[in-house]
Amino acid sequence: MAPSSHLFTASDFLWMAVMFRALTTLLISLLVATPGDAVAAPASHEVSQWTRLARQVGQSETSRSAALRALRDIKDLNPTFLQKALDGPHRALALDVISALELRQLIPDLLNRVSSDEDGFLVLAINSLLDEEHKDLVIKSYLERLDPSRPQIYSPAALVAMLEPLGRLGIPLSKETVGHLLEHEYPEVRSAALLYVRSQILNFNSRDYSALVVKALNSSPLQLRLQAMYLIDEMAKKPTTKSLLDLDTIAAACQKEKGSVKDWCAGVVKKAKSPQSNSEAKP
Amino acid sequence: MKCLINALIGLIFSFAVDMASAAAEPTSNSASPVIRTAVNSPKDRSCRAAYRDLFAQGSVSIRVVFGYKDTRPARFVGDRHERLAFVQRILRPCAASSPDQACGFIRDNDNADLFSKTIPGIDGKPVRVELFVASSSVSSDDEANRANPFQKWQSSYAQKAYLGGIDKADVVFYNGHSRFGGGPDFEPPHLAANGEVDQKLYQSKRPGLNATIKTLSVRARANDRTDLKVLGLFSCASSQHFAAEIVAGSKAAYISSRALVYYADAIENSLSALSALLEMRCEKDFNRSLRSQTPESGSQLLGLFKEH
Repeated sequence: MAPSSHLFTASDFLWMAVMFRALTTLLISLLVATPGDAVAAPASHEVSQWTRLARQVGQSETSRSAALRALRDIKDLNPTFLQKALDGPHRALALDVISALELRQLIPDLLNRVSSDEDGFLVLAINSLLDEEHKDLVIKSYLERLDPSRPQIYSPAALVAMLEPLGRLGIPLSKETVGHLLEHEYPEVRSAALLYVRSQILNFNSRDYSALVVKALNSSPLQLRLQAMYLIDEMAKKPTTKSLLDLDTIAAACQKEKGSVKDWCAGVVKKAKSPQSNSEAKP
Repeated sequence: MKCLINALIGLIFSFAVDMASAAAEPTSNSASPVIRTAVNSPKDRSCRAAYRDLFAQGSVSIRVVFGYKDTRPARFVGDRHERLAFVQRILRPCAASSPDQACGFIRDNDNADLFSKTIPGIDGKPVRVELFVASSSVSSDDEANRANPFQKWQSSYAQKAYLGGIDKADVVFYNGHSRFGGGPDFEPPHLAANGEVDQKLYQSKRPGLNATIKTLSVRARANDRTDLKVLGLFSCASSQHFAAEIVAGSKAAYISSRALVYYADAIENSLSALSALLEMRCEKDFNRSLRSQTPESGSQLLGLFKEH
């Protein structure tokens, strides 16, 4: 072999580059790629690292605890910083951090931003912060926003998210409001309204909304009608709610369906009409 | 050891993607703002062939299914909300100034999960896009869902949408939990005695992956339909959890993630992948739209652009 004036050929450099890349990728993979592995948090962090830590908040409990500790230790990660972040590209991460660090002092500011909450995640963050102290403020705000006499400027996703705590806590909405939501352009809002109705009837023994179940049964899309049929089946199994069902009207609605859905719907009514209707119907 | 094996699989997979991207690079001008597509890159034979194949029937069937997104130990379940954020985006009118195609869809009157639009294909002929978007949970409360009879129906519906797509659609995206390699999963998770998600069960039985592989193999043997073209798993570390089995068991291109995926990134990446397919992006720009060079937030595509 002839002696070379160069220590490495071009091919050597190429392979060194490939090997360097391989080792780097391997190290990165070891650090980030295995679910369930705890990511050890260094003792202190700069504020610039908050997005990396915030991504770990939704992971395993070990990772979450370490990430939360580290986030709390970042001096400059204060409410003002996170409020600014809500207007930037890391909005979702900022909401998760606000929720995870339980920064309830930001609730009034978050409520002011609901009209620009396109994806509903801001309202979900507010929901996660709900406690006794802030419950009245948040609920009052949601009720005002769901009032059909007010301009409907809220995204469907925000409406769906606002309905959830109202259903869970048994906060009454007027029949007009729920009826209006059952006619919303987005089927997802109609479905959330029916879920609210289910909670009111089954969990809070409300007798006010049974007509809205039939309204949903006569609506589009098919997914909403199926949701209504399941609710009717559940109501038929409880003596207190079975009496709320107008089975003849429901039977007429069933006749408009086709195929297996029609058969199942008719089966639900037939079972509800029988004296002992406590077995489970399946579509 | 398992961590090391996972890392090595991820390494091999990421190298394959990088090498494939480099091979498909048409010029050395990587800073070019022009997005390379099958329409404006006639010399990129693998790019044109991929989209000719995808749009060969004059239509393309795409399914996007959100798995059951519980947040244990918390009770919150997020897939309904994530799906709605996705749906709102695809229903927006498309902006004339943007190439984005994850927009401008119209929803079916009586099927809330069915959307469609028409795009110009590779030769200008119209291509009808049918997009099915389903989610798995019936409310945001895991405990309430477990007590709601409608949840069983919804989980079954979502699973059928996913597996039915693997059997018959052109493109299937899953956006959900990996369940330690036992996903995709559309049901409230199996719990261990301590109330946590039963990791051992998912790792040993691998119910979601096995159902996926079985359906892929049935389709591969069937003579009455074309192959699945793209399978995208927008779930945590899907490159490590699922790549080996899926790549071995199917000719479909595979979109996956190397790292633990943040939910907002998974939504963005699935919208980007949908748009990239309908824009007919060539390999490098497809992966750029998926942020493939940023493992902590991006996804990567492998196998759509084959050598000719």
